[in-house]
Amino acid sequence: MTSAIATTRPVTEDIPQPLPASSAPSALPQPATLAEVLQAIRQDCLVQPQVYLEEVRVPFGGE
Amino acid sequence: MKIFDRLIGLETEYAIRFRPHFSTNRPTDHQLYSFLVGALKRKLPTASPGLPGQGKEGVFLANGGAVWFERCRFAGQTGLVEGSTPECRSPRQLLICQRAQDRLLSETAHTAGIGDFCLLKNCRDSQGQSYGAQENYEATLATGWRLLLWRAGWILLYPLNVIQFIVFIVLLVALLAILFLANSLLGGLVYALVRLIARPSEAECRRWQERIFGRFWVTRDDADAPWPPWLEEPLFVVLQLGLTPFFFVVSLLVGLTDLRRTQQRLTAFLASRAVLGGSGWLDAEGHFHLTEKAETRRTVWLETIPDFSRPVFSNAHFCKMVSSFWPRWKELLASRQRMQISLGDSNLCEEAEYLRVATTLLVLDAIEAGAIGTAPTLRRPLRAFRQISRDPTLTTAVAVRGGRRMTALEIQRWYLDACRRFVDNAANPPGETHEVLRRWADVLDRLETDRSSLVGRLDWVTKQFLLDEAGADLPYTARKKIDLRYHELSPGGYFSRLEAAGQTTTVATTDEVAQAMRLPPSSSPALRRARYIREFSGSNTVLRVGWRFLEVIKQGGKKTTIDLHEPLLWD
Repeated sequence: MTSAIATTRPVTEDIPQPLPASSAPSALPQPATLAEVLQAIRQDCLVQPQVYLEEVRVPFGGE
Repeated sequence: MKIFDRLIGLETEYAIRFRPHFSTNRPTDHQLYSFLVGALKRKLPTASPGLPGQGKEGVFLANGGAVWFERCRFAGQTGLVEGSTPECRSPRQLLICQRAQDRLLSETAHTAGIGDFCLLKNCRDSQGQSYGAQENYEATLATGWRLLLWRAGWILLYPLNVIQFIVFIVLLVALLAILFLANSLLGGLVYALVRLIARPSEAECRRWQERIFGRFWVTRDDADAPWPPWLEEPLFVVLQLGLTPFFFVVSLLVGLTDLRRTQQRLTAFLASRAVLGGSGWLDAEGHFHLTEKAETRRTVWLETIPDFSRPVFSNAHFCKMVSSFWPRWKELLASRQRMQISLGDSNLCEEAEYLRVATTLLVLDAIEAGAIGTAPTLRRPLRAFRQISRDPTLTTAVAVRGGRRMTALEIQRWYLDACRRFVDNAANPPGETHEVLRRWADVLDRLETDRSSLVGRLDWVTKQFLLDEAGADLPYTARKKIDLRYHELSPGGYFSRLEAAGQTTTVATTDEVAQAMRLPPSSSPALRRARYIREFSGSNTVLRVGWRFLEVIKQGGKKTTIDLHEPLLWD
């Protein structure tokens, strides 16, 4: 059933406050060139890859 | 018929990765989800769901979307974070909302301050388990006599479903009672012997109790299972088998509708769409595939065993509409319904995500307008999905009816040409259609002639580039880490690093995404849902929110139900 309802406050398009900007510290300095990015990825992927694979496990999956 | 006028939405399951900073104890996935939602509530007004048939733990947000805990199986603390975008109408609007959701969740996880907590936007874990993305498109289910057939079918099916459900519940409760009794007697005996002989510490006692009786009896946490871990699998199988007859009949019923004809015309397009929207995947033998999802589909449309069939076109949402004591008849018997597609990957590249949805939307519009009467029909669709996905050279041709063979690019060009004709003949098509056609043609051209120019634009091309350039000659585990960490939504994620270095292209602007983190899209039911959430969040009025309906319960218990799809006086 559909009906308009009386509310204590008018349901209007309010103006929400902006979200606080992320204060997330960068885990790594961001390389500026593609070659530097590739080099950083090559180094990082060799750091305990098995540990990383263990961390990304989803028993049974989803959907 | 209007183009880009239907409701569309995306559901994305994010895998959780966590590494504690100090302690060695890892919080459970459910605890991490709770941290995430707690932090979200400090950023945005929220409201609880609670309408029949939703069943999942989650929260609706003031931007019109929602966040859920997708529990693995039906017990335990393991699971995924699932985000649902608000309903949108144009592909660009949907892309903006999806990007806003990704950013909101990833920033919130990253700043939760409880360790290295981040989300991965992908569809396969390190062991190959499947989860990920689902697309929802409003579509015509049936008209005329087919709609009458659909409605009559449900009216006949519902009493049978109720009887089957009651019988099943009685049998399940009886089975549970027997198992609990047997487990209490035998387990109790084992536990008493362990305490008597081994004299374990208090902590060891708790572990034994969890193992023998179930974790719930130790933690008293509702998220924990009240049965021992070994019982999880048999119970799940019993539940699956109990629901199988119902799912089977629903699949047959959907087969009688116009929706099935639409799905048949879409199938070849979806198989070949892997060249646009595939995210790339490294299998256990180290072979590169275009998509994560192609290997996981077991059927195209026949969904018989819940959580096992893994169809391309899911019918589970129809089943959920009648799974409570109060069936959602108004939705179930409507001519327009949600068509759910489970074949697409989650994307990191904006253009890939945009094209995945926009091209599907355009093809769907063309099919429903009668502009695609006969489409290429795959002789063996499941085999074709795999053949296309396993060939990054894009030269494999799959068998289509009529004795022909077509490559994925040829199939895509067939649909592109059909959509061009459809748009050319349409009266006042939206400007965005031309933008979609231009990008679609450009990407197909580049896939044939200049693939390297698509790094940063298509995920599978970008991931293959990273594996070739950064992962060459490295052991499998390191290459697999590239495959997975590409999807990590954090500054350390490999796609994020490319993005920060300006090596990716964008479709949505930063301002558009920032706005969609707070506000719902216009001309959508999400607009009204969001208004109510902002109005009543934190007040004494109870709000129960759903995708179609919303209940406002004022002090004194007076309840008002709002249909979010119907216009109100003040709209």
